[in-house]
Amino acid sequence: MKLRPVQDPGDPPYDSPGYRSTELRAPKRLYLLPEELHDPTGPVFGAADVDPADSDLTSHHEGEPLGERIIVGGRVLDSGGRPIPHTLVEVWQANAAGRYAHEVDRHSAPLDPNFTGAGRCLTDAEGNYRFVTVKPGAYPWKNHANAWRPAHIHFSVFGRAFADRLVTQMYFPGDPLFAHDPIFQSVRDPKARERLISSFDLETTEPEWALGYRFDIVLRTTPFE
Amino acid sequence: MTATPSQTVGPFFAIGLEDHPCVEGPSQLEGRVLDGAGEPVPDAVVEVWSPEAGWGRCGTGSDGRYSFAFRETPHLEIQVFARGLLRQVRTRVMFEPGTQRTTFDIRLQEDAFFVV
Repeated sequence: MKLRPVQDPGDPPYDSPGYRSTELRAPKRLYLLPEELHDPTGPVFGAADVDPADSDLTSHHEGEPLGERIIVGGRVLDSGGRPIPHTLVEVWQANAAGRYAHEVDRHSAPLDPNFTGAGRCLTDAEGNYRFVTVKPGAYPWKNHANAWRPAHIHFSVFGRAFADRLVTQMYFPGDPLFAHDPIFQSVRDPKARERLISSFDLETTEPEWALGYRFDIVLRTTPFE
Repeated sequence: MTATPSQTVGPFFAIGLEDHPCVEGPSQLEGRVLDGAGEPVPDAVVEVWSPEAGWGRCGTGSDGRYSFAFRETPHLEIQVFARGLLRQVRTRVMFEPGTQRTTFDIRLQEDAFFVV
């Protein structure tokens, strides 16, 4: 089998010197997947894999978490714009103060006993998903002097084939930290970067209750018939 | 349509990405994820898939180790996510029929990976 090397596969290049952790981890030997190894299969999830309460991150403890309650919704689409139904979407995030409920996070911001920051759901028949959560705070990291991550929610999406798998981060519109964040800026194409930013959505917003943000996710799917 | 770009899974993924077992069986795959200095990567998450073995997910431990037990399969697709990886890396491991136990270290900067 002859392997064709890949220089820059699009998406953020693995080798992004501004993001220090790439230095010892970015792979150096990348090859285009040969046609004969393309695998159109992938895991299938069902209602038994998720609890409906999993999609409301504000409901997992006795009390309500502190911070600004928000609704995040959108659709999961293939590269042809067709919805992907019944696929698993997982999210995790910092609390409103910018602190993750994870032992490795040493930021001095307070933990919230009423917020873990993990959720999941299946898309419906039209590819829609919806989470209720609180807006995560920005937080410092040690990548460079005075480094701060823009507020974001981590997303993990499956799609139809295991090869469609996407892990990404959703940002909020107008964040002043965009220009200073090497992870966001690792995506060099400005149009592709826009895809990472949710939009405020009055239709998703619920009166007297919570602002809504829309984040559609387009997977880089292999041709599918 | 412009695809949504990948972003790193970051160091705190364990909050949201729980480990998941494969379809139960006698086959075993285990190994370490290693960085370019040969050091274990303690914050990687390894996912495997095949129609026979099903889907599995395992976060590495402080020694960079992962392991799966699964039903016999001719091969497993593997994807690895970690802090410092802006996208996952993909590889595949093939099994001889009847193999029960396979050790497979994933050396991020030495091994060859596939891009779809």
